[in-house]
Amino acid sequence: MIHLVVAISTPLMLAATGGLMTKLAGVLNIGLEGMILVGAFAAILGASATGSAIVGLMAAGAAGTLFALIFAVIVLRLKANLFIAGLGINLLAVGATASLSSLLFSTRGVVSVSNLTVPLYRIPLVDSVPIIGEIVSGHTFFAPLAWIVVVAAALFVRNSTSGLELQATGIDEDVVAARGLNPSRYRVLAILFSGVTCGIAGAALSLELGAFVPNMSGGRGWIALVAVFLGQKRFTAVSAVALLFAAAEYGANSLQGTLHLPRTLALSVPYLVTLVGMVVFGAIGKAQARNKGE
Amino acid sequence: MTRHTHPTSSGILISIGAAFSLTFAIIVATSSAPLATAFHFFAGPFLNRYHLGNLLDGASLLIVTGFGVAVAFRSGTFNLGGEGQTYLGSVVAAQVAVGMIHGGETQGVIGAVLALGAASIAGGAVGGVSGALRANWDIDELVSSFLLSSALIPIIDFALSGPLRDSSGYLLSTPLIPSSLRLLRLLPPSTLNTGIILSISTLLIGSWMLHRTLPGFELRMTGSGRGFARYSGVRTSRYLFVGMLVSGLLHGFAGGLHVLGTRHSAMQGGTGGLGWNGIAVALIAENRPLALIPAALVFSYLMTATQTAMLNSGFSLDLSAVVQGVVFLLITVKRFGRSRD
Repeated sequence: MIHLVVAISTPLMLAATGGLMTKLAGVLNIGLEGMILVGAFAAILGASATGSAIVGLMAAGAAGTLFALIFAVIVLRLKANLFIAGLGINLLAVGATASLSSLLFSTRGVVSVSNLTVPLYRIPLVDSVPIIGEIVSGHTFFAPLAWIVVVAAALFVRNSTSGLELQATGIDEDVVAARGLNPSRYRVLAILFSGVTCGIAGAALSLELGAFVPNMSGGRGWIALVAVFLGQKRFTAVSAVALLFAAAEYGANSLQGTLHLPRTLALSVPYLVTLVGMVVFGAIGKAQARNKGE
Repeated sequence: MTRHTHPTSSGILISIGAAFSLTFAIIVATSSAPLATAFHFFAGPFLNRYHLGNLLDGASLLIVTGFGVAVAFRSGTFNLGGEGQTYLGSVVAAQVAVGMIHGGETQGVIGAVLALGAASIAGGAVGGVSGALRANWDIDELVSSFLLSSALIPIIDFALSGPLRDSSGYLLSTPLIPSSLRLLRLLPPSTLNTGIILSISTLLIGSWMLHRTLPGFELRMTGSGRGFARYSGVRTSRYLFVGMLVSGLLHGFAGGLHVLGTRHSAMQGGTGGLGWNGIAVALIAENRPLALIPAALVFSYLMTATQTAMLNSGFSLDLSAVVQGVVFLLITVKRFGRSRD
């Protein structure tokens, strides 16, 4: 069970880490969802062309970065509104994947790659430890990759000079500018980083399935965004929220399995879980604020 | 974070120009007969009654959803749940209308008012939930309305493929609504119908309420500066709720019009795009009610032109999401922008 929760949480962790990085730099990235979707498509495109999952992974990272670059130029250079431009990234991702799918694979439906295997890694020794072995071992390379990305990002932000400067950009860009640094540079790099992590998140979805399904990002970018909202600028908290959403989704899905509910309805589960999470946290936050105020 | 979404005049021109050029380039590049395709892209919508009527019908629905988005914007909220609210409105309208067959009494005008009213209330309820969450607990309405709408869509998809489906037909849709409830077609064989009168009247009345009544004034005041409005004695949290509620109502109403006027049944994915395109239209119109009419016409022309060109290109691509994406990306661009707001 925990094993599956970890697997469900992998793309969420990756996307949320990227989303948090941009938030720390002072940019709310609504376009996570679209970057995941283009990553998922590019991964299948790369893998089907070469037969290699690694090439697919790299293509996914590149596609996510390309969309992140478009977002960065439009928001930072052309001063467009963050929300509207972010939605534009999501819509363009839907349009671009559907159009390219028609052009390259002659289908608007599922694109599957035959003979694609993403190896599972069993970690020696750890594998035989009960519970922990179940949690950390026997995943595809995406799960450990996600954890490494989270830890590395957290260490970078907290301990490196550049990381502190990035945080300062999000708090007060004038201070950063007064120190002779360029705030836009940190923002661009943070956005590009989110493009890479979201691209990989998309690859995790499509390569593990061996297929691209239209709109397969399925709201994960939004869930990651809510995790960033609720996690309040801390990598541990954001990851914990992502894990919580993954666990809730797993719970809801298995409940659905036992009740034999139709599969179409399963598509609404992640959104409902996230909405409930948002409302619960929001109500708690409001209650706390009231208590403090009195 | 700023929620003010000021489209810029340069952004409006750039985004519409870019959307036109890009779709044109893609269609012509993938066409086997580029010249004919180019001709049909520009002239196609005006060549026959069918396409022209559909263009106008599409615009009449976009006026309503665009107005819904604009009302939310003017109150300082962002309704991102238009897709689900419109979809729900269409299903509710169809159910009420079809229910009247079994009820025996199929009285045209009253039945149509009931169906449209129920659709509006359903959409308003969904928008109102996000508005209430924002007003009471400060829960971001942009994200909550999107999540609620995205959760609703698969549920409605399921309902239309099973419980509510017309089992005698092949389509994933409800049965056709009784003919006495259908809005009169104005330009057959196109779908243009008397709903366009309802949609423009709604816009005019709504615009009057927004600009000439106290609640409308207070709503706009809340949107343009919440702190100032609050110190002036306006109950701003109420208007955050009202903005989202009215926005939802209008989206539900558009869904109802789609059923009673355009399709005569609720179909799976039938209202798809009305929500997103409504946002695009509201942005093009800079949230000014009367500017919604030309904005909706331009946007509907772009959509129809893509279709007529595609019909003649021998290659079919669904470019509506590409068009939406390009418009959203570029519409708020400030080309000669200052370094900070």
